[in-house]
Amino acid sequence: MNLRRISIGIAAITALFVFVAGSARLSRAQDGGAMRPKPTEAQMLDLQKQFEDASIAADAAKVSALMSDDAIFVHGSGAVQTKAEYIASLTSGQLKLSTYQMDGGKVEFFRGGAVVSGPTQISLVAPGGAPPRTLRLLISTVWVEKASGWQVVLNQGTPIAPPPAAPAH
Amino acid sequence: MTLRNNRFVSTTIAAVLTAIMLLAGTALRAKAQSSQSSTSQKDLVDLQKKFQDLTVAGDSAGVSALMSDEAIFIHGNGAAQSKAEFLTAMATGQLAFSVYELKDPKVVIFDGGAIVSGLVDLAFKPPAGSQAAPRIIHMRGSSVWVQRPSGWKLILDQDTTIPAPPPPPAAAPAPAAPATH
Repeated sequence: MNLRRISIGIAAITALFVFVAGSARLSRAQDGGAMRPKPTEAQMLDLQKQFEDASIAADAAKVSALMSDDAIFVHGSGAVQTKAEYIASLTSGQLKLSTYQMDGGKVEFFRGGAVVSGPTQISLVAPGGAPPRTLRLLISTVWVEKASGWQVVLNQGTPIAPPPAAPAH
Repeated sequence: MTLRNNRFVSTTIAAVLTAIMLLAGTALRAKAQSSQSSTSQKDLVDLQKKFQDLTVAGDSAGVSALMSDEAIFIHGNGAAQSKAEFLTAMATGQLAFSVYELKDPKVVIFDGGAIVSGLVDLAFKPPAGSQAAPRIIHMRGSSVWVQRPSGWKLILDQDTTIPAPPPPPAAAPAPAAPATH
């Protein structure tokens, strides 16, 4: 009799251990495979700046590390590029940036990611020494935390319409 | 002996109940975890289309249910609205679409969410009595959906107007592809 009770007790305790261990593993998996703390808004804005600076420098390795392979890049013209196309346009010089700066960016976190958005100034270097073309866009960048770190899955820019001209008196 | 028997029965019942609870809990967690992976690209495109159809219908309650409270809506002119502002604009008629369609959608699914991006055709409702055909605006739109306990919620919708192509010049050489942004 005692033996049966002990067996049942051991089985129950084993089941409990299995459940607790499984739950912990599931939680870790849901958190991106590691118990990493949630970044601060300042850290997300810094990440955004790293992406902008790497794009200006046409640093393909850095840009690549910061972009998910399936990332979508939507330019202010509405043109859409894959990660490979965006990096190719930077390294070929087809897309040459002298300014890429978000000011007053806001961060909205969601589980496993964040949206960084804000007005952004972009200057495109024109060929032949012509003055750069400067654009003002509202850019949103969606970052998600992957096992390899935070990566962009979407970057979309929308030109900010200039304010209407003051009416003549 | 009777006392010992009762203890045995109690222990057995407790063990069986514990096992049932553990199995049920594990099954529920597995179901919750797999619900995202079971959401197909088609489901997400359908969700996006539902949001657009509700917007055209002016169904504020339906639209509200699909938007996260902190959602941002960025229009093709670069104007940004919060969820409350977007709903108010719908309710007042300031924002009234007659056409809001998604074409050629691409879906990117990530852990906890998804992006639906594609070509968007949009037209505002003409003023009452107007006979003019609605002007269709062509845009590239992206929507970010995240999975919450209450279901999929929109947290970002951003549209970028695609400029109309210039009229073809007579016998002019093809222009070089412009740097974009």
